[in-house]
Amino acid sequence: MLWLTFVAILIVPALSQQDPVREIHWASNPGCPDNFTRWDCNETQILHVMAKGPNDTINYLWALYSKPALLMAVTEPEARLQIDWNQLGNSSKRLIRFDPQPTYSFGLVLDRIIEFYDPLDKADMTQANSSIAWDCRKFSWTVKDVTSGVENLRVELLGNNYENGSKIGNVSVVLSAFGSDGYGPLLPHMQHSNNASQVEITLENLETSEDFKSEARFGLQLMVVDSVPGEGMDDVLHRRSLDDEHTPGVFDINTLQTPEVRNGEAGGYMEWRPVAYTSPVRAIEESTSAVHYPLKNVSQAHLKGTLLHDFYGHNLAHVLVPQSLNISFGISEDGFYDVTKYNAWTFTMAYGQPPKDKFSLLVIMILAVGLGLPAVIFVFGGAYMCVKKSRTRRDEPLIN
Amino acid sequence: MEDPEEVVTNPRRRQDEEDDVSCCSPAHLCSRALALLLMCILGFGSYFCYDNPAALQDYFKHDLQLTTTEFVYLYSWYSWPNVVLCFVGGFLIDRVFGIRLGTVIYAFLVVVGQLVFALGGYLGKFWLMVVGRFIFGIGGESLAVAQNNYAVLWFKGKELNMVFGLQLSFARVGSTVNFNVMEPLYGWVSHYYHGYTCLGVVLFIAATTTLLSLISALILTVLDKRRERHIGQNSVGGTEEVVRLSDVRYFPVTFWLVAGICVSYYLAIFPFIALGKVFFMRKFEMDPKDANFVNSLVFIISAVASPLLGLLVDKVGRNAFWVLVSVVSTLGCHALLAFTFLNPYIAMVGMGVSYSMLASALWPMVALVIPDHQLGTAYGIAQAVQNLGLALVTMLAGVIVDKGGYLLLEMFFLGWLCVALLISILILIIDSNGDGLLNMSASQREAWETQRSEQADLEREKLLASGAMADVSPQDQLQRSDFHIRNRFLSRIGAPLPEHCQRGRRYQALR
Repeated sequence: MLWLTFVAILIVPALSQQDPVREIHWASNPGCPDNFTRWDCNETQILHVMAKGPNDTINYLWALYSKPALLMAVTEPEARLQIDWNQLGNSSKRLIRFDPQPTYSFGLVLDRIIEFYDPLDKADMTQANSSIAWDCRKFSWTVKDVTSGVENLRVELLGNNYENGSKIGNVSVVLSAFGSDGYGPLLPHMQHSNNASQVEITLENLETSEDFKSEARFGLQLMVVDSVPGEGMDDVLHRRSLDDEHTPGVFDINTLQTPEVRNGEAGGYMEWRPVAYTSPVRAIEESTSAVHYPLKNVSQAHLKGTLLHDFYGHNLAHVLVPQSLNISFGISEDGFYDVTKYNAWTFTMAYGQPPKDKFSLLVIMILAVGLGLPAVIFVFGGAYMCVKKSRTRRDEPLIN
Repeated sequence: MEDPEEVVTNPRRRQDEEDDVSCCSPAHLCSRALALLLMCILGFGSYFCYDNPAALQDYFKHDLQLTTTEFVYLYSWYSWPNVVLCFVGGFLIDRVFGIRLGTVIYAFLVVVGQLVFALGGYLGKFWLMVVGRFIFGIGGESLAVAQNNYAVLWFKGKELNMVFGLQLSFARVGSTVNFNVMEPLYGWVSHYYHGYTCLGVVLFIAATTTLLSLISALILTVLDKRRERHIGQNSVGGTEEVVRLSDVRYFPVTFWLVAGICVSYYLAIFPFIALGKVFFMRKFEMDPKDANFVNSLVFIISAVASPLLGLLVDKVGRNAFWVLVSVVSTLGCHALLAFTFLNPYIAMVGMGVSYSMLASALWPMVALVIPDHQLGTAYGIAQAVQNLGLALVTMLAGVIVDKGGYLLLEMFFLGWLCVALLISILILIIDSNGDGLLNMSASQREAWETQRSEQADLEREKLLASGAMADVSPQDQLQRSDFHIRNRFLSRIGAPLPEHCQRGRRYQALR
């Protein structure tokens, strides 16, 4: 009886109702006028991705101009996007609008890459002796590849040519939009809902400063903001997960929750596993830690010129609370960045409530059969033995 | 080479023999105590080095860039030669090398194997390390057989049980010391060497324990020679356990079920310990030293609990029941490790106690269902199948960790334990349908034994009373084994005996 309830508890979530599938559509530089001078309209600098569902549409705006910016806006199904192209980056008005207004939005900017000197091998960015910032504005960003399907989209961005070649190195950003539940295609196979996008940032071959003597590590500074006025986000929530089927050897998940999510409602959130891979072959042996640091409120000046500033306008300065999230890669005794010159980190950026852990069907089947079969045989065998014993007892008085 | 059949019936003490090794004569207590100590040290080296990979798993994987799938080759290639050697090793000692030379050869193989293993590490060549483990495997398990044979030669009767128990405990102590010493040792050596060279140097240092085993093998050779000269007996006497594969036909179903538990239960213990260190480090966030200590808990507890639980099972009986209890309890421990983040000390202590309980209850069951003269074959088969299972499953476990993570690995072990659970329930059912021998309490079993021997006496009296007893020697009447009596009766009435019962005397047919 006990194991039946136990199995039932496991089965129900696994077979729970799937969310409706969204259709993905996308457009490059939507509404770009012919007389636009900042860049050629054929060169993708703004991507508008629409994940259309029955009740709402999740719009992703991925922009490469200035610093890479990712915006997620939840609107009605037939909302239209309007961009004031000619004033982009030059005004504090809201130049990018949806009609009707989005019910919720969440934005992220890749602000800078931080190279820090770690001679004591502590892998702690706050205790670094010194650091150098690679401003993301100084990379030249292009769209390398777009692969689209009915229920998903994959866009590969490349940032290189830092400061016109003064430093060597590539930053690759792979953005994916999903219309259905599932797991990311590459390790760490992050679980995502149908309201999710995934971001993979790879720091490849970055040239470390000679002053740091190959004892340098890298980190990222991300700026995050959501559309709810007044409240900033809490610190990152760390939880332990029993199931490491998808990321063998990693039992932790970190979540950045907006206040709505914390209160149990639908809101924006970011999720990642505290692991970064040091080789394209992503094995647990070639991994290192991804460490996060407490959120800090920042001035909206950091977001000037980016898509977020063009979207939120002066609200950014007066009403909303932009914050910075720092992540560093590395753990003691991993040989620092230079040993492989490769750091890859993945996170999901989504709307709603973070997906719950559930055991795969394989686990449930093993438990059900493995415990059920012996239990059945025990019960029937025991009953058979008892019946036999009572029968011989009844026979005995007949023997003289 | 000694002739094992030679039995000198009139030993003469040679007065002019000088004892140059110890001050006591071989028959005396302190000489036998010394021999006991040497026998225990004999096994220490091989058990110490067997789990070297497990204690240094994360360094193996990091310094040699190994996946878990590759790492477990170090264990599965240890087991492969023993699928065959379980049968051949004992035979080689009995018929070819003799106990003394055989032990030295096997101890030497252990030393060579560990040295090749260490050399492979020093040079960074993984294939050489696997070859070293293979050679080590050939020597290691056969050395355990030789250890047992020495014990039977030197000790008899009730003290033999204690000696076996002590040997096993010493072996477990060897494993425990390995888990607790290797990590600090690696830390110290890493000040002078780095990477796989450091690993190689650490393994060379570990090889000194195998040298210790070789030295005790050599000293035992000297002591045993003296014992043979003084006491004169070199055969193992009436407890010859010859391996004959044709015996397999006669084994009852219960034996195969017991062998099934031997395989399925141990598959959930040994591969788990091999992979345990990194599991504890990652899931329970323990540092390497603590992870090794928790991993070694099974062996520490077994060293102490095995003799005690052995005594308990001897006194109380009901072996099949204890086996069931052990399997269920181990299931619970693995479930704790898989589905909770509860402190692993609890689960590992539980596992240690269950493992000791099962070992104490399970192996005597083989002796209960198999007649004496087939025990050699029976144990050989059980060990061979166990090694086959270990070799295959350890490889599979490595693949599971790489592809599916540690939760799936625990599910895999839980699956094997469920198989063991099924088999132990079947044993209880089938046994209670039969004579219920496996699950009798000790007093019931004694009563059963006296009943059987009374029946045998009755049979013998009938035979005696039937006359024509001229060819029965006094020794026949002293034989109490009912097999012996039955065979004699059958041969008298002219019934053909099975091949393996033909050795020994032939009897005149009854008219």
